[in-house]
Amino acid sequence: MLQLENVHVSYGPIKAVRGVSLEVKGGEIVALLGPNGAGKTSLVSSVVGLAPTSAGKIRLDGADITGEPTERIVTRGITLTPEGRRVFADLTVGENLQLGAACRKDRDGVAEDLETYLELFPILRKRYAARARMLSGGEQQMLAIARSLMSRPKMLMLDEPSLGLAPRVVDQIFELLHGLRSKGLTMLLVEQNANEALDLADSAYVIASGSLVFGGKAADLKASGEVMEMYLGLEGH
Amino acid sequence: MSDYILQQAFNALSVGGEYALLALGLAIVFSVMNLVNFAHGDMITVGGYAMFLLLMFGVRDPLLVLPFGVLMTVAAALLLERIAFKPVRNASPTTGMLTAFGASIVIQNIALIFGGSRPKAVPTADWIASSISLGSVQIPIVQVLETGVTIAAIIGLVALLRYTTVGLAMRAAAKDVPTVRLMGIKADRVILTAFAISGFLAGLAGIFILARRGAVDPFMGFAPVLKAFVAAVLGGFGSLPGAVVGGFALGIAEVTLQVVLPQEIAGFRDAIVFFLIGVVLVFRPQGILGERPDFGEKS
Repeated sequence: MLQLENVHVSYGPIKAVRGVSLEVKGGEIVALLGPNGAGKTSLVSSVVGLAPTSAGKIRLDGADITGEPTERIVTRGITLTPEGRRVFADLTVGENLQLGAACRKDRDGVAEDLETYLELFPILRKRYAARARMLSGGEQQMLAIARSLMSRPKMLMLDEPSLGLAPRVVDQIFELLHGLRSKGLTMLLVEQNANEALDLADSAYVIASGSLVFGGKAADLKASGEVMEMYLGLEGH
Repeated sequence: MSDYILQQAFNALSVGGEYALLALGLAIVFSVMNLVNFAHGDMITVGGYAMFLLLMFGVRDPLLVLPFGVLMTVAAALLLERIAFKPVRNASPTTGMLTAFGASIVIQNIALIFGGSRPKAVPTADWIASSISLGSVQIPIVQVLETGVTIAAIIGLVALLRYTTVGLAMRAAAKDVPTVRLMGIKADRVILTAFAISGFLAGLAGIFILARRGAVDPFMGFAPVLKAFVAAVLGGFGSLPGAVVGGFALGIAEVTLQVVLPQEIAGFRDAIVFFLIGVVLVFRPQGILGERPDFGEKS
């Protein structure tokens, strides 16, 4: 579904990503792991056109989307739940969800999806009329994910959905992602939380200093003590 | 005496309404694209000359002339965005501000070249100069209309910002443009809408400015927008409710001082108003309804 070929991302003289190639197949969950500052956020931002791709090709379902404006890429069916959640704090939960579906014309489908996600995230129904700034971090993360899903994407990228959340809330978020996985949603998950992410993912990539250091099955990565220890600071199994 | 107070109260509301309309236009553009549009007043000039020209061609029907003036003000706002501001959209705010000054100078000089520097009288219809009686009080109809139009425009704007998707997108874009684009919303459309609204509000204000002055000249928009800028800062720059509150506060302060100041120092009215605003800003640097900037947040 999504193919990155030798993608470079630079901000002026600073190179954040140096030639990464990876692939996410339809229906698959891919984890993108790596230490802080490795270029994970830059990489997923470049896919949706929010970071400048200085070289390489990004393809979605075979179509070259490199350098297209963000809004056009999103209407093609891929979206990103950004790092730090970035909910619209002054808008209500309902208004956030409405904006999530802003690019869609099918009113009936939007109403249907809204019902689906309010069912899936009961807290959002409960706090529907509250301003997003009044929500806890975990609730805001759920809102951010639901808002992304309201565009009915074929593929969802999540940038550090568990960042800054209490362990109990992190478990809730991963439970939700497992639920989305069972619905067949294709996902690219950027995480610090390597163990949880690898339990969810089919395959995994590890980047460090802007370059790939591992690409393969999630289970193989878990088994590879060396990569786990060197780049993710975890004991392998 | 109470009649006089009622008259002056209407006067204050209509002056405040004019400032509020203009301050809202400045604030709405600033909130979505961090641009202080100093050419805002020149959009009023464009609308004023458009109405003047139509009247010169013998079209007298206010139902044609007034909408035409508003329409041309909106057109001026959209053209300014396309020609002047779009190319510098990603540049620093200083570049945007200088561009606005440049655009302002260009429009003023076009008006100078083709219209001359002397004010040109605009024949206003008799009914607009008439008054209505409220008991024993005579209120100029312009003031009643201006207050009413301002209130209607504010209600309309609130409805747009609350209940339409593009309105929600504008509120969201005021804080976080990239995430708005992630929703599949064209940033371009949001910005054009903001300019269209600011032009529409300026067009409405322009009608009343013209009705009061009874003449057009190349600099007719400058002074009102300078006041509106002060009103917007007083209310909290970038805050839409702040623009309304600041506009009315400034209008009320001006008229109140006009009434209470003895004749000899009435000429210092503006100086006293600005001094009072300075005092307010010392204690509330973010303005009446402005937010203090959040530090340490990713933007």
